[in-house]
Amino acid sequence: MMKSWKLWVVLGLIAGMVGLFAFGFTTDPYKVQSPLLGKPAPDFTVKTLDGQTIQLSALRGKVVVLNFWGSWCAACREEARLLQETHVRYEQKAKTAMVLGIAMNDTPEQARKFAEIFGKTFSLALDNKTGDVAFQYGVYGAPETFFIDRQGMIRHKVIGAMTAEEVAKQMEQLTGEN
Amino acid sequence: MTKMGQTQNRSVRFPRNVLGALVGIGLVLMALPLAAQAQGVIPSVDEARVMRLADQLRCPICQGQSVKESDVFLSKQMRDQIRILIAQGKTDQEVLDDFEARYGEFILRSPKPTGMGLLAWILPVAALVGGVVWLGLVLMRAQRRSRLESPDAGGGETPDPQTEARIARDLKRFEEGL
Repeated sequence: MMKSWKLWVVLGLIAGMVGLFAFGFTTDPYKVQSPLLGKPAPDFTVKTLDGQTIQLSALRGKVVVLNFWGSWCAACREEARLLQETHVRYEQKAKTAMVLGIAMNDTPEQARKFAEIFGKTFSLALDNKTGDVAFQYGVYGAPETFFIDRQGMIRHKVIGAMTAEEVAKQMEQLTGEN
Repeated sequence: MTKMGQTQNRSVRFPRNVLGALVGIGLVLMALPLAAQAQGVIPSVDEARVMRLADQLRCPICQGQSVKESDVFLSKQMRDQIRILIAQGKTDQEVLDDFEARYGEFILRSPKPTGMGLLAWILPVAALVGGVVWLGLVLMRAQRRSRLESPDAGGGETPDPQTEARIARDLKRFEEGL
């Protein structure tokens, strides 16, 4: 009787440890869900590379694709064309959204050069030296993209390079366009 | 009465230009931190406090390093953000709360004693208490076993001569009675 009780305790402990290890190994601690999802997007004002001043709250009524990037970031190259396509389709043609790129830890020269090489014509700005805008959004790497709805609420966040399917799904949901 | 009142009023009244200058200086001083932040200027604050707080925050892109230990640009910016928050008059807890609100609980190196984080606090204590109890039981059992296996085992204390004589008498009477 005593022996079977002990056996169950040992088996329980082993099962618990295996469970914890399984949870630990299958969860990427660097891909934690942003606590900002479903909350109002923190407001900020930035100056674009071509000298325009943009305040996020002034864009209310449009879907905003806020992309944190850097000319030094390899994955940013992968999604550069996709962001440009999104800008052309939803910002230039449908006028229902705006794509705004904020470069982190970058220089205006490098950022401009990157934009030129990858054909980025959408609004691009530079975060300041202390990374105030990135901090507001809890950004810890590039690229990271936030989808902000017409009411200024953060609806989705993508860490790493986005896929065309992912962008299409989010834009369809937020703009109501197919 | 009127004269006296007028005299009193005159004694506390600043010349208009001095008052204007003081208000102006006050406004400039109030606006300085905001202007400094907009420019990404790093305020000078108690560095020991900055490092103490940085030690409690995880560098999100490093392997097991704190914001204090890490030298990547993100950690440098996070230390700057700590300086900015301290300059804004925030308490240590408010600074940590600000980071948690943006990055999630993951950013804190010590998990909060709630939800899954509670396990991290309870399990080591439970393991320690369980280990001490188990060790105590093992030692007690080993002591009992060694006592039973000793040459005196079963006899306990040697009876005194009087008791021995009485036992012998009782045994003799018992055998005679059979």
